[in-house]
Amino acid sequence: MEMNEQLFDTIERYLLNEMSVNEANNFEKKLASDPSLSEMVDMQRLEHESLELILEDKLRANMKGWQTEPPPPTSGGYRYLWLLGGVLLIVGIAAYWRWSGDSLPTKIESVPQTPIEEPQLPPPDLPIAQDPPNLPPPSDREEEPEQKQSPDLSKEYLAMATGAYEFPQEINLKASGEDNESVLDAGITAFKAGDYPVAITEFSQLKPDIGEAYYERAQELLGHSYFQSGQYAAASEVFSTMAADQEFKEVRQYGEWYSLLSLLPDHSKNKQQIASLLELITNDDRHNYHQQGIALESKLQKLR
Amino acid sequence: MRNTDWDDKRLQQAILGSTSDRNNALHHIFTDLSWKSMSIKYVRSKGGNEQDGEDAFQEAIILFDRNIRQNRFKGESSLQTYFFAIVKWYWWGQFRKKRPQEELTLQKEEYVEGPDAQLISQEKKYYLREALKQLGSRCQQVLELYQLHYSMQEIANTLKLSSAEMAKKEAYSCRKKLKTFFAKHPNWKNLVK
Repeated sequence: MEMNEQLFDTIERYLLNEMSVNEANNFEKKLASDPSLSEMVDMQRLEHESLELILEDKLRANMKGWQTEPPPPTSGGYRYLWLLGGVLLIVGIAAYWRWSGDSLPTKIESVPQTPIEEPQLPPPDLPIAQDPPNLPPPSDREEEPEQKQSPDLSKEYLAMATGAYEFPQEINLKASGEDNESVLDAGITAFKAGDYPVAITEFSQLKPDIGEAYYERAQELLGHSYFQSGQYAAASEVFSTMAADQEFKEVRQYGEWYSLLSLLPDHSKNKQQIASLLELITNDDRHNYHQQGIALESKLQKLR
Repeated sequence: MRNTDWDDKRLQQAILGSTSDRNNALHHIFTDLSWKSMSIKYVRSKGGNEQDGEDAFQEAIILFDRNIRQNRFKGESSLQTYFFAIVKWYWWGQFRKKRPQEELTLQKEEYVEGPDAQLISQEKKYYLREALKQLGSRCQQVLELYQLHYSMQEIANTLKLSSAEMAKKEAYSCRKKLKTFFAKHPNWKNLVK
């Protein structure tokens, strides 16, 4: 049998599973009775495997690169959050000037030796510092521990934490599709709508019996819901659990970074923990958040 | 890489799409902790260590990508469930190779989603890489796009060829080179047995 275009296409369709069941059965009968056709199919299959190997090698090379790349910046679907951030920033700056200018408490004015830098816009690679949505105005934050320290510095630490915070794009915010995924639906829908109190309620009530993978995802989103709603201590508790993960380096490092950011607004209370987490992240140049840690450290040094 | 609310439909479409769409989708799978941790946890629970889990995860991505492109995924489960079935299938094979005397107990439902995956043996890979070397990078590029089901016009556009006809000629000539290599090195027949 000689190879022609039609036969070539027929073999291609067979190899690519494009034949109907009947057609494939008939073709296989021919194969069984025609050794030369069978040899052609074998050779064409081998050709396919060669072409697959090109794709496989390329994918392996890509995965090698992806393994070493830092977590990518947030973009796309969350762009609206940064728009909101921009608006909040303007409001925040206005509030800052009003607070630090006209009505700055006298005891702060009495420490002029401490250079306090003016609030600065973050470098272009970081998102704009923002007050998280749903955060009560500064005067109402009785439980916020930064009240115990210099109001200016607490604002700075808060801005630093929210400025360095990026919602990780890897989190799957798909509300359904996986068999048991519906247990997360309500929380995810609320989270996507920026309704963090509802998201917190929904994710908090989920227990490990929903399955390990789902429970972990619920916890992760709970941590981000707490952070986005300004409940940093609660966020830190959730992320600390991830930071204690002994099984997966990625989970541990992820937990360390978000735990650090959650501890930062209450700097005076969490000073020691912040320092050790920062040291852990900046000393390990293979840490997934190494670059972010270095940037944060440099900002913290300026503040000291 | 773009941030996308990936659902199964978008993931599948992207894997079947352009090189950049494919890369985005596969990057998502690679970096999404839920896909990875589920795989590693499974392998660890079945006698492997973290590195075995990493390996199984990466091999599963390769098989998953191939099966999606080759229409082996019939949509009878979610993509993640299907992916996980490949991980299990792969680890089961590895475990048998590593510890043939031990039996890995797979629960009944773990067999249900048969991934119909095929591994290319290391011996065959070695031989095929030799064949590909003869082709040169230009031919490999043409054949890569061909294998990704780019149309001849798309191949022509991507490789700046004057027409679809030219792309077809080049693809044909590249495949002929492969066949010639096989014909000159007939031990390929042993590899397909």
